[in-house]
Amino acid sequence: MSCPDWQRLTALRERDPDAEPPGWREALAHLDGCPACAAAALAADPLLVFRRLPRPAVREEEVAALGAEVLALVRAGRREARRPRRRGFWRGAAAAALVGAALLLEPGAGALRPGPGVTVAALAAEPAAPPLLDGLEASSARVYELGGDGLALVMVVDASLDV
Amino acid sequence: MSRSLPPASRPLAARKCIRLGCALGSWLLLVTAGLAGAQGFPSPAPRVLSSYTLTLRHQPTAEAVALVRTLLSPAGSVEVKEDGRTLVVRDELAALSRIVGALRSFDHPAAPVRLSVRLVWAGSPQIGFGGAAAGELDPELAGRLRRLLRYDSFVLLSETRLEAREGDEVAYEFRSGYQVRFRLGTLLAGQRLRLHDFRVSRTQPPADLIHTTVNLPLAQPLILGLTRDEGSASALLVVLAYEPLPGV
Repeated sequence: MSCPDWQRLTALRERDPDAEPPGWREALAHLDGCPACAAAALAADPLLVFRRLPRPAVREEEVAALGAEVLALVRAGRREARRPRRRGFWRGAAAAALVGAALLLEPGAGALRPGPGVTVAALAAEPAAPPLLDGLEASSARVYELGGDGLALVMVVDASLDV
Repeated sequence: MSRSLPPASRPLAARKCIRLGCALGSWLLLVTAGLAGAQGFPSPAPRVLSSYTLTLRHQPTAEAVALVRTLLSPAGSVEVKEDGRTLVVRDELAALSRIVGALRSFDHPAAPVRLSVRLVWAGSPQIGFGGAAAGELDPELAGRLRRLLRYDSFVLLSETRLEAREGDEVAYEFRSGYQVRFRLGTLLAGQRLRLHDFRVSRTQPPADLIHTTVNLPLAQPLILGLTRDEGSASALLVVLAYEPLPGV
């Protein structure tokens, strides 16, 4: 197969990401073995660099459950919008009084601080896991962390690397 | 008798009710403030900080300070005394209790570890690897790499297993013309090992490829790939793994 027109193919895919343009699979197979095509394909669509990453399977039930949750939220929002507002007076009064009392009667009033026993302590209990590589921030290298499949993988891409 | 408003006037009535409610709330707020002032409520108590002092016996001070900083609360601080080995940590009790536990576990005698370092050439079969291969790369690892990367061919250039202790400087020159150097950091809770001043260089002709700090996880090998650009037809992979050895 001769080298395909990557600009045309990626433009077709952008128009309809769900459909595969004619010759797409053959072009990908060709790309795997053609160093000349690698640069052209990535220039046309940089996301092709990730084309071999495993795609997590999403089951139909998960999609249906997600749809049902969204629908329930939309309905709840509509119900809330329809609710009569006769209790606005008591709500306003109670809210203002509660805020005032809370500000005045709490020790340490006025200061912003975490709520009772909250998550700040829990979050800080373990030091956050550091990145796999430290200290490349100042360099011109682009660093990709591609974890998965039981491996921690970091690709360092730099034009000055003569490996 | 129930009182109902015509539909058109409901929003206006509702807004009036809310305004009236807010006004009453503000009045209640003022009354509460007055009562509070009259009764003399105490002013907010300042945060109580406790301090903990530890003289490190085994592990480097800089790493201990770095560990403490990740655990401090916003009110906390850490100071190194003049001897360069004594840390004074001030913080709230909850944070301090975590820091004390972490520091005690951190300051252990230098532990031995076994490291495995492999150098792998990755490319496509069409390009082919021109040099001498040291052997076959573990097929399972090669399969996993194939799924993650755009390369099909993985050639093992060199491999070595090293035994060293935390804090040791390690330098190893491979026959394939590469050198790897680093200094072992401290094993953090047995789960992570820091490799300071991690350098990979080529010996012929001499050239530094990378200089960084590596945080090596225990559970899985770390693959460090080096390449010129995203579309490069080949890359050098450095496969690092470690295991703690008994004898601490």
